Amino acid sequence: MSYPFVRNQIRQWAAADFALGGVQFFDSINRVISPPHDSIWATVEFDPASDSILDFCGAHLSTGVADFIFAGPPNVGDSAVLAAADTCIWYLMQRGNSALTLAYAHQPEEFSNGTADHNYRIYVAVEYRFVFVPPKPTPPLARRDSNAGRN
Amino acid sequence: MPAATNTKGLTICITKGAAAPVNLTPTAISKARPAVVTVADVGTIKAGDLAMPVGTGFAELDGKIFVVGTPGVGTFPLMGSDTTGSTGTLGGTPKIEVDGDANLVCECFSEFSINRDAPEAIEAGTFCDPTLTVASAVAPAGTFEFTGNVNKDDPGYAELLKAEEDGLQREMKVTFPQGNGYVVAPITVTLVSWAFALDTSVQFTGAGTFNSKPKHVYDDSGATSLLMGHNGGPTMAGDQARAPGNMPPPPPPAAGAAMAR
Repeated sequence: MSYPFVRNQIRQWAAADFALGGVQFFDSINRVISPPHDSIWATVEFDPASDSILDFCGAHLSTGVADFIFAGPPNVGDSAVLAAADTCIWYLMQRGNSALTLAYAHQPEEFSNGTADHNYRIYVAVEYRFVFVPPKPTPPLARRDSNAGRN
Repeated sequence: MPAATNTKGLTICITKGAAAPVNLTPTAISKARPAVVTVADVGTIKAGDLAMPVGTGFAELDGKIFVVGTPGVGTFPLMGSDTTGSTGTLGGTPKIEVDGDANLVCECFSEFSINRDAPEAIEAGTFCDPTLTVASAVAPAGTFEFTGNVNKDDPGYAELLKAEEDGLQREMKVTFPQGNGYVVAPITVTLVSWAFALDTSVQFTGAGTFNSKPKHVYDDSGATSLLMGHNGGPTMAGDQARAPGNMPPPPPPAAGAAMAR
């Protein structure tokens, strides 16, 4: 699990940038999706790696990986999926701001063991670095004293 | 009581070069530990502010940096001071220069170290004993080094750049967490540089000198005292006996309030 800001920002970037590569992006985490069977599509999942404190002002550094999974039609080889992934990841890697940096992308890996099932899948792991100061949490609702009003 | 405290909550602040301190005129200063200053009105000063007595006639106080303890009505203690055995009498134009939070900027260092060396031996060789040395009783005030992450929007970083440029003396206050007091010293920032490596934050590094030795001051009061008036005679009033550990909370850092920096 990663911080919501990281997940939402990366999903937002991917949705916009992957379209430039002709790939439809789906947010599939805890959602029922209906991806196409005849074209390349992608989704993402997140793996946190480390957390550390950066300075005496309370800044944190959280690192992790966004695993982008690219799926394509079966029985057509791997070239089209790999090319689409290259393009999409290139666009994505141009993104970044003062809080969230996409440090680098790993080389593509097989996600479906190279077999031809209903989808052929690869994934590209993108390393992220998130620097932030933990915001003050929203105060929880006032808890009622369970003994209030009792003798 | 735990034997060690985490550095979480520790703050390192320096006075701004352009900041003008609030000047208070003492009408009496006690001979006690800590010394208690009597003024007509304490105004807006509060516990934790930096205070430098000037022209008070107390050699133990003049030109040195202290931390204001909890102010009373018209009085405030100088945490870290000790005038118990002083022979000083209040001078003709004494003042206490006070720097509050508005005059300070806190630094978002990732590392800060104080370097102090033992006193050096003084060579005193003679024909009879060419190797003779005498131990110096005076230790150098020392130096410090720091590291942090570059952020042009951080007022602390900007102040460091100014400090190196103007070479002016500033006052430093390190506030230890859990009421463990403060380390205070006059400083001059002598160097700011930068370091960068692949896939890390862009960092600044730097160094400076202590213009007098850094001092750890904390609330260890409890003694009563005599107040010395302008004529050097005793006056009525006592120190604020404050419970140990009843320290004010450290001020929040000036920078880093935003979600992302």
